[in-house]
Amino acid sequence: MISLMLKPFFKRFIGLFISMAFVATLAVALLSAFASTIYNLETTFANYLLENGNVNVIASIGFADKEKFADITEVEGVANVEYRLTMNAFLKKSDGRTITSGIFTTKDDDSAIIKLYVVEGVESFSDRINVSVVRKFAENNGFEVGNKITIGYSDCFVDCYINQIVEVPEAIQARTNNYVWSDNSDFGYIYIDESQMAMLVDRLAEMLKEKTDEDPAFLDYLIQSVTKAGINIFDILNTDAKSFTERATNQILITAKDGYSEEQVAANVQTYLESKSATINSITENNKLFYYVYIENVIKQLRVMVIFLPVFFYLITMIVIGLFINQIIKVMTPQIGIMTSIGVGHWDIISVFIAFTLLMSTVSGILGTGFGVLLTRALAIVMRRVYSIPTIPFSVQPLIAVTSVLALTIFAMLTAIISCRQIFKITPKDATISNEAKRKSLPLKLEAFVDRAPLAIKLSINSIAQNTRRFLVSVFSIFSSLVIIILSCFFYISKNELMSQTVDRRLSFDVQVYMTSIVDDETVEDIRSQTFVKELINCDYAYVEVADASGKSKSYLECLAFDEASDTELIIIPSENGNGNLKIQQKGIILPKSTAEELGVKKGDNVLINGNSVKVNDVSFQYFHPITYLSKTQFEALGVSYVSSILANVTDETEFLDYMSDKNASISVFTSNLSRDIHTTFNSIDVFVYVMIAFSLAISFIILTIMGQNALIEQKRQLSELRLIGFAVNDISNLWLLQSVAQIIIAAVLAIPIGALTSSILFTLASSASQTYPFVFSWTVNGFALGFIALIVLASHVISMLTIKRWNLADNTRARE
Amino acid sequence: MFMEKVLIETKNLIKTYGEGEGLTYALNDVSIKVYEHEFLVILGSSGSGKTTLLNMIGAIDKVDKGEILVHGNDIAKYNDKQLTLYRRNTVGFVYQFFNLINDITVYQNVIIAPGSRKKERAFALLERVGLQGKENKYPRQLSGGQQQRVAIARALNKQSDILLCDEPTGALDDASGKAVLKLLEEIHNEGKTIVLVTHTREIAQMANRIITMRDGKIAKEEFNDHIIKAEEVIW
Repeated sequence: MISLMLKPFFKRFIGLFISMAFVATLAVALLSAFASTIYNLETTFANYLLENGNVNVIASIGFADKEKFADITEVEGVANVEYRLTMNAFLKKSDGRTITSGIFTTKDDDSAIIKLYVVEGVESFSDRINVSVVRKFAENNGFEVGNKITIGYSDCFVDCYINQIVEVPEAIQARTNNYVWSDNSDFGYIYIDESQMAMLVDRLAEMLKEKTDEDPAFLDYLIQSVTKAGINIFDILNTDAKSFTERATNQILITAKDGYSEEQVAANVQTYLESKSATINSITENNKLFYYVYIENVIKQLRVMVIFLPVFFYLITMIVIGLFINQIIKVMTPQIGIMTSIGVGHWDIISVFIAFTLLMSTVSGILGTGFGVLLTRALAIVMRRVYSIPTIPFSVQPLIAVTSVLALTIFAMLTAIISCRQIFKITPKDATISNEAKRKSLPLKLEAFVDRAPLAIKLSINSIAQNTRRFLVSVFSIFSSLVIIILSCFFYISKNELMSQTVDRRLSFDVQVYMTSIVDDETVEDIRSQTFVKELINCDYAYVEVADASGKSKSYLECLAFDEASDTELIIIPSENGNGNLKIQQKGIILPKSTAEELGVKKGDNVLINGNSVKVNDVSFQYFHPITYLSKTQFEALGVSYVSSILANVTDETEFLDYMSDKNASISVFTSNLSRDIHTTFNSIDVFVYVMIAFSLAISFIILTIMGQNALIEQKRQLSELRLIGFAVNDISNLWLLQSVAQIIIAAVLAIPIGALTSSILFTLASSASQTYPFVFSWTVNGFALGFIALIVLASHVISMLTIKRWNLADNTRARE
Repeated sequence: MFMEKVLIETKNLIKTYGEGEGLTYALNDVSIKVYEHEFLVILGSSGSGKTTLLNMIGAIDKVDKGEILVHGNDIAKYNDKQLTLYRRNTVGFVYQFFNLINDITVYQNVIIAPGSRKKERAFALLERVGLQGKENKYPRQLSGGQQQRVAIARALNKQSDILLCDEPTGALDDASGKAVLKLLEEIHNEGKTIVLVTHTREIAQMANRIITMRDGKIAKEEFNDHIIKAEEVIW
């Protein structure tokens, strides 16, 4: 039976076959790609961390001699220990820009706890200070192996040479950067051998000593402006820098013994360090390290997507298969009746459908796996671009691919078998029935209404009543598409809102310049008057310690002071209670959400800054470069040391930099780069939105067209008779349009609330502590979705009318053959 | 010759449609016998129940009450599987409107029923019905008469000894109809039992025996003393 019927069956229903295969292919591709990516991230990244960042606890302390902690290995639970020296420094680029970097000492040793994964490298240059630069940092700044870079502070810079481009897990943290002294792309990590670090610091110290000898005031400013550098300038200036570097540490890396949890070891290490009177800045367990948490959040979001997207597509695939098989059975009922009348068994007939479905599953499985490979590759490229991870394998995992295809095959077959149950109801008698619908009577009350209704409504309602199931399927199709479009659009809005959470007043400017000395109003006006400066604000910067009212919980704030007379309205900083903009009050501060949570304070509470009790006026949502905003009055009242800075919008960056080099500019941070970077990353998500919308519209179009053709088959005689008595195609079009409008209205009434609810739930699931996808309801979205759907309905309607135009009226109205 | 063995016997068949005040008796206590090797015509006007009776015998429709004994077995009690085998192996059915599968070729239509897949036999049958060379044509490429002859070939391909024909010439012109009747005549002469339903008295004259139905009942049963040949049929 299969050998006889499969080929003609396939030829006749090739359109449906292609439609089913299209949906099924997408389902397989999405599941293969997303599941493989998660697997690749979880295994490759886990292996990568294990190989290169197998640290359990990191203790950041004030500078101290390593020897002081020689017996740390005797602390319970501590297996291995490694001492690092870290500092932040500035780099001067060949284009004159000064950027910032975190510098870490490293060991070229297999036993190193944090190892460098070398992407590209050469032998160390002799008689030079060799450095390894993280790949992303190098790419963003055009650094290559062999390049010279200068590292230092203020006017004191030392030449170093890049001999390696590397990857290292903690560099992910640099990628996401919370460091306000550089924009995102300009900040990165550099690794340097201990002995080379000694040379670097030694040379720097020499230069700094010389400078401070010449200009004593320089020292005060240097202390403030590089206070985050992490080097005790006094020690370097007053002691032998080289020996200091070789003996000092400010970061201890610890691996735990088997059987000990990270919390236990961290607690033991804390106790130990306290006993040694070490200045403890932080003790962090590996699973709480930023990069670890960050990737976990990414995987969590991917998991939401892998559940929602592929599962949803599989569901759609099953629905489409079921619908189409029903359609085929309906069309072929007379032929199935003929076959049963001559002794063909029902299962023989069903076997043809099963073979058809199996063929579709096979084709889709192969195509889907192929597309899955491409999609996995695309995802891997995006991942690598966004995160500092060495090459993630972009291959689809074979087991995942096989599972995806098997799942499709099994579900498709089950759907086909379930849909084919109705074949058992087809008897030989059906060989003589026509595809035309038998007249079904309406409920009495409706019949009474219809009798009095205008002709168009009468015909439309009767048409719906003849095949309510078909009408409902069309409604469901429109409903599904609406939900997908609404969801996609809400996601688009949410993404934009999330983007806006990354942009604060500071990032809305092109550049922030930190000055080497306090600038007076005259200098500010001078800069403002330049033709290449469009806008300029003078806002002082301070880095201060903050504590809760009890003084127990502590953190650090990076403050910017704004002149409340002109700049009280902060733009685009959503508040905790909604999306309104925040105002800088004359007294009090606006805390970033992360700091507020760290201190355990909320709006209205007081915090301690430099011994002053200050009210928290608001908590803002921005999570990139969280800045604390306060008025100049409040700033001055705090009595903290500060650095002058200006925010400016410029027309020519190069001219601006040249000009500022004479104006005691220390660091110029092109904040617009970060803004652009963030927008680029977020806007890459738009592709998924477009794909979802396009897919839902395509599916809807296919289903509506099929249902339309189905309806035409059923009502061919009636509609042809209408044509015979003088109805134009346009007249029939109006009748059918009424049905379409009814379908859209019913679908919209359901889809709008369900779409909104689904969006809200999904966004909550995809959100994490640091990244909240807000749900913002918008009637524009619904209007937009309805507009798209109306176009699709119109398109399928046009096809139906074209079909009617092609009819042979004589054939259609002849006595039944 | 036709008084020998009873091949088919219906006993008190009742078939109704509708319910309540709309209840209609398509068959009202119908009992007939079909003898081996006979050419039986069931004659009646539209709505007489003749097609319904044929559908019962062909297991195309189910009876409400009564027995349908074929080779002594009551097919009214058959389950779905038994009915499928019955239609496959015991009877061949020829419809008024041919009921060919339009998506497959003439040859494939002949062999479509399971158990009738022998290629040589199918080709021989097509030659027998005068359709040699048309094996790879599709039904829509044939005339009505040719399509009906394909249907007959399909029915003959079953090796069943009973051929049921429901107005086989109803959709054909005179010439095609005569050709089909001639074919049926030949088949009968070869020993097949044929039960043919028609509303045309002239065609009924070809039969050995004529059962006339009216309003779902047997109105008359008569032997035909003046059997005519197919080419003598005038309608």
